[in-house]
Amino acid sequence: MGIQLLRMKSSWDSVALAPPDQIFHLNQLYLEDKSTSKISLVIGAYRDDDGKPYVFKIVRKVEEEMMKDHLNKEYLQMEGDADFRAGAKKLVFGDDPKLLERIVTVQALSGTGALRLGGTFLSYAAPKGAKIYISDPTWPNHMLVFKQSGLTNQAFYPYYDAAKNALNFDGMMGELSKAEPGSIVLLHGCAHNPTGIDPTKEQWKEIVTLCKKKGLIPFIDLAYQGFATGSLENDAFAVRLFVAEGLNIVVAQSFAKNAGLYNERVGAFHVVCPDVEIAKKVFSNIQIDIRGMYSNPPAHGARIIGRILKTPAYFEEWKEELKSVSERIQKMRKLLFDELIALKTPGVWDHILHQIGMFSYTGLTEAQCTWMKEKHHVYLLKSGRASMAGINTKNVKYLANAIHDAVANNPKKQQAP
Amino acid sequence: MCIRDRRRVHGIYKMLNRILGRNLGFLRRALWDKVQPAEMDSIITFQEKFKEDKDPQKVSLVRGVYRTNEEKPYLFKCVELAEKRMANSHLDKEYLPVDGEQNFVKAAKRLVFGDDFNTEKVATVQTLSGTGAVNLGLNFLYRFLPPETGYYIPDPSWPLHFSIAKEVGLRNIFTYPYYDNKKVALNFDGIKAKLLTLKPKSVVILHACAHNPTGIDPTPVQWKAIIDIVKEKKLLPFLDMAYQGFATGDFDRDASAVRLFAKEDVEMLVAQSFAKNAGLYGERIGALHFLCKSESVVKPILSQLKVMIRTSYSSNPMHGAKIVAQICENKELFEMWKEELKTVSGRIQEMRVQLSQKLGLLKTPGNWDHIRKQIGMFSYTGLTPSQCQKLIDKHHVYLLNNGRISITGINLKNIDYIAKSIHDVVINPQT
Repeated sequence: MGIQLLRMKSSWDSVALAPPDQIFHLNQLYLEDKSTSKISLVIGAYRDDDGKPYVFKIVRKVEEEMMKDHLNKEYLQMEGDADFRAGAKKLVFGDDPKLLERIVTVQALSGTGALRLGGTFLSYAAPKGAKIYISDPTWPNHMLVFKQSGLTNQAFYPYYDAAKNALNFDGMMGELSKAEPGSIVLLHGCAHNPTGIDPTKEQWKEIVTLCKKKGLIPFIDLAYQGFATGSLENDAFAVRLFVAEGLNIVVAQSFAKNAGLYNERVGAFHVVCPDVEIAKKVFSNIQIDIRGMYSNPPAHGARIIGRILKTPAYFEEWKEELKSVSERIQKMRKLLFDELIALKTPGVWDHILHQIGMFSYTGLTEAQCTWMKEKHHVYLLKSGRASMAGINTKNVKYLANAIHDAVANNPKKQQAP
Repeated sequence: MCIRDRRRVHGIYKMLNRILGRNLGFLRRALWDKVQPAEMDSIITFQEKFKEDKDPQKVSLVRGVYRTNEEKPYLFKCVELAEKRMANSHLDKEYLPVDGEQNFVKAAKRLVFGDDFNTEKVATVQTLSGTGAVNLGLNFLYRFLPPETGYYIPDPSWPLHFSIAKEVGLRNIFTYPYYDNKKVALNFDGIKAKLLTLKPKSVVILHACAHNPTGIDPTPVQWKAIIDIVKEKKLLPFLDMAYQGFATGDFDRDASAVRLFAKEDVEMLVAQSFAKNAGLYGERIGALHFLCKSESVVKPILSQLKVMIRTSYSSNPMHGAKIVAQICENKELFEMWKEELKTVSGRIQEMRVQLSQKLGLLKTPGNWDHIRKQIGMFSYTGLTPSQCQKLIDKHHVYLLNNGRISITGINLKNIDYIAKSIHDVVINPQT
């Protein structure tokens, strides 16, 4: 009591302690865990077969080259590095100059920064009070980023069929059919996070048709291009389909995963406009948004990507590395699946094989996930989302045994009829 | 289509809307119709005009970026060496903690508050340079102070203070007098008078050193008086320190205002930039500090700042942070940095002295001492908007129309031309 009186009154006494971000918090617990067999399947960050962080060889090579060039540290333009923007745009949308000239591309602070710019743009460009439809489930930060940017009218469309561990396509289409014209639909361009379940090509065609018919604004989050199937082209299928069908979409693009540039914060935000004149207006508005937030983006990571994308030999090297990292993930999926089958773990585990990208929605319940954490020091989100990148040939058996043990001791409760 | 026809079409359109009972906006490409051409701030506009100018003698005194005597950007040697070390360490590219690179955060705190200060009471996060720090700080204040809070920006100030405040959504944005344009000096009485009228918890933005655009800073005695008023009226100061080490070449001296506030135990925010003083413009490296009265509020503040960062761009870029951390942790690199800062700020000082002298020699009407005495990158010349326009149009010497010049654009090759041009626009007000 005496100490309370002595303490000076602060302007900030009423500031509440914010709850920690669930993903970072869980990873922090993992980091503090002293067990030697601990495994983290928490963060969507690639690991090599030794469980080590991985820096792309082509990135190291380009960084060394940049050092020899003694580049200055001048401000980039608000919209970012020119080579980077040109390359990022082509990567997503292809080569047609008539199309590219009506697409606004700005450098952003990785995927999150692009989403934030997108949310801000749509908060004044979309019809007032427009609703944004987000998949249930999705990356938890989506809702918060959009809320902060002014898109406070949010709704969810069904996405995941838990019983079948598959896409709930009917549910999704049903909900989106009810959307008002001018509503925004957030879609994952490939490798849906957290489920790893993507629509088929046919299903994408139906989604595109629906968006056209209903006058919806597609907002595509493209965080795993090249990382999902190993092919940059394949992973851009959905985005390019929307554009080919005449829809003017917005895209948030990240190079965190596919170039392993997590902490350099490299991304881009794109707006496909009806024509060049409108593109100019849109561009000038987004420049102002950027200026008021942070003036201009960080140079280092964008310069690396810019160089890779504009140098054919580097681009090829990058593609090769991307293929090999995504192949390792696919191999781990197969290994885990095989182990679970060999152990005769109750349940169906095919989804681990078929899901795409870094994550798997394992189907494990919260109780099972907690069991794995406490008994086996295996960390994954309580939703059952596991980052396959955390699996390697040395820990896959241990992981499979942990899953088996968790499932055996925590049977799934039957759904009430 | 003439106006009458447009109105008719619009009328039919509105009728259809009513009949069909739903928003046909999407048919009219609604997303695009609401987007109007946007107006950029003056710094960018003037810099663009300069770029397009084809005159061989053109000079830009617009932007606050350092140039060598050869008009080249300057890459600090300590920065290059730090980068080499980083390359040799084969650092990974893993996500930084949300509040930033931890060694950077420690170093940034020490630089601002000094080695002997108890930084347990300081909540610090890495930010996207100074702009990011001001944006994040104002966002926090917007969220946690009452909506009727007034925000006071000096008149004049860096234009972006207003743009950022607008972007954040602040409504009660006011100015306080700062500059006496007759005396070309600080309007100290004006500052005091205005601050004395403010309600408690009003936010007052102050430039910690090297005021932008005037280059005029309060003296230590004047700072003390300002601090007394801040304490008396329970105001919340937000110090923007973009030029520590760059103003006088001395970190401690340039931070003396901030440290005066800190010594008086005033709760405040400090926005810190490494754009100029480490030449790391494009790497976007800065920090936001909350100096608090008690350690117990540090954790809650940090947690809220982290949420704001997470929902804006998730986490900070590594490259610039690591460079600064390396420099600050290594005695040799730190000494090198201090030496280089003395050199660059020395060059600026030299150009100030010479320009002032040359105008004196030309017998340009007026007193040009202020150019020599002002501090930092910028000088408020005292030229009128029409004189500035003539400087641009006739002599292709670019500056802001409030008379601000960036001394960094002056060098031994162009200083005579600049002096003669200024002389011309002063003695020949008519074109």
